[in-house]
Amino acid sequence: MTIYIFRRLLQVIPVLFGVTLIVFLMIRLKGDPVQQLVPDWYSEAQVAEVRAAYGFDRPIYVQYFEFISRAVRGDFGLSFHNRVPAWELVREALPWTARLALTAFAIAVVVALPLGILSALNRNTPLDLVVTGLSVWGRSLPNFWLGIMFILLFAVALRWFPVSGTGTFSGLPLWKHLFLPALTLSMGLVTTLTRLIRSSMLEVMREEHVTTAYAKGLRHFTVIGRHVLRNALIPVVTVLGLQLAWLLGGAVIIEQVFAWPGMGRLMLQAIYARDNSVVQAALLVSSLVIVFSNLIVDLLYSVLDPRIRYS
Amino acid sequence: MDDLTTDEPIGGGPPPTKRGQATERTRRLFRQWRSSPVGMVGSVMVITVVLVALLAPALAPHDPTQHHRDMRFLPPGTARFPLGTDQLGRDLLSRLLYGARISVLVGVSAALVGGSAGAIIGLAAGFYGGTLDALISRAIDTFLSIPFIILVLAVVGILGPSLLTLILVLGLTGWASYARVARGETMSVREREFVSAAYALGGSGIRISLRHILPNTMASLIVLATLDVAATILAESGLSFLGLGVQPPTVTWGLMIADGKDYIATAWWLALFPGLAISFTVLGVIFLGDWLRDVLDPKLKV
Repeated sequence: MTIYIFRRLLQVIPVLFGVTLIVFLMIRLKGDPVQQLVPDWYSEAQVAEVRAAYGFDRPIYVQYFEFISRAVRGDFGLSFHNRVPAWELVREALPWTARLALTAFAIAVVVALPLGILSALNRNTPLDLVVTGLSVWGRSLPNFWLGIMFILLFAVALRWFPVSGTGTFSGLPLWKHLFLPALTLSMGLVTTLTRLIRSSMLEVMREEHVTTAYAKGLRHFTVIGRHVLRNALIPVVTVLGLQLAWLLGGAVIIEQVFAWPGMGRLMLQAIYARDNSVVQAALLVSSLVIVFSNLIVDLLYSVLDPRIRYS
Repeated sequence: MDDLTTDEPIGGGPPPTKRGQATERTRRLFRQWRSSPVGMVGSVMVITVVLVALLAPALAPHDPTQHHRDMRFLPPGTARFPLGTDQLGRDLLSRLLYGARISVLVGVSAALVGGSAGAIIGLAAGFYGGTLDALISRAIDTFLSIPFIILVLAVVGILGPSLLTLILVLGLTGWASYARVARGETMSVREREFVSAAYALGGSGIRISLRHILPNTMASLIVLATLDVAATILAESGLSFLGLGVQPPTVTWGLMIADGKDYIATAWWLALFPGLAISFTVLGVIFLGDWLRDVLDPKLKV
């Protein structure tokens, strides 16, 4: 077990190196980053001055190590746009995205778990067909469009929830503002989870230990609860972890649709304003969140399913 | 030595049975297609969208960019504008038909770009092993741990949006999943007897990997590419929605939804129809992909 954890931790190092390298090189994709910072009418000498001030005159590997050593301390430079440290902006936005993603996560589990189990237990009945059909259809819907349709239905037509924002101006409680974006964000996860839980349940129900459990006279409910569900949920845990990346990605567009002040909106506004230090900070932080949540999921998985440690 | 009779012929000129094998394979595929409702429905949907994209100028009742100033916000249901008009009085149906072109073009080309890059890189990693494989595997891990859509947004934002940028960025950021599959397949195919036989007959490394190993990894890659087209079409619509995709006056479904969002309280049809068009297209591609997976490569999990 210790060896497994150690090996898994070791694997994180090259990935961290790669992620930081990509984020570092990204703003240099379009050639000289200094040329993009300065106005056209700057003279050679002025350009050189800017280049030296930002450290772009040094060898590229020196710049990379400088970037890393400052990033470790949370220093990504000033936001080019509003002269605040980029890290400050990310730190303000992070809790908003966390709120949105965790709520979406909770909604997804609460909706998908019973749907998946019910449709596996009632395989090929009308209920199963409806659930499976909806979950397949859900895969094909662009989530930002779904968000707009939710706004149309729940905010414009029914007036149950506000259209967008966080409650600064509306005076409504936060959960009312949180619900629609979280529901939208959860939909992709709901469809994936429902299908996964259903197929995983069906797979376990075919196994011999389940037949044995029935044969020794256990009640249906006990067999499902104790012998099927427990085993069926192991792969679900992994996918839940991996889907976090997907949630963060989806949050970018959803936050824009609902004017939610999280990481995604911060990053988009930084992209529109060509505010590179904020783009770098946001991309690096969201990638790190994913690298470490994948790590935690893998470790958790090895606890839940001892077989994985030996392969 | 069974592989010698069933797989690609080794060396030399064309074998006499190759054509017969190919038609037999096509016939079998067609039989499986006819017996699968998902495959049939999926391919009909996809063919419909592709035809619409190709024939948009002939099918569209109006010029998609022409303003009808006295016909703004016309609701769906009139004979002249069946799906209504938008805030500038442009015909929604015509715009919808033209919008299929960008979705199909970007979806297919990005998958081709990413698939070819990923397949070659994965093939090299699996075939040569060693340090190259270690390096490539770490690069795959790295790319798979960066949220795809966020990376695409950042890169498109820095490079500036255009059709070519969009295709290259959506394609190239997706290389890693192809490389992972190609690498795995290559490593298992590499050990099979017909590869040793090809070596024994004096085939060079590059020739063996391209002529004997690559064709055997194609089934998985085709399935992956099909499902990737679906993901790419969704990503493209998202980028267009955010204004980071193909720029107006080119018509895209994502941009139409972005326009429609501003008038959602008064003109619901503006956002509704392009969303349904995206869903129809993506659903068709997913059906096709699921069916291809069942037929070509049941063990692949994507």
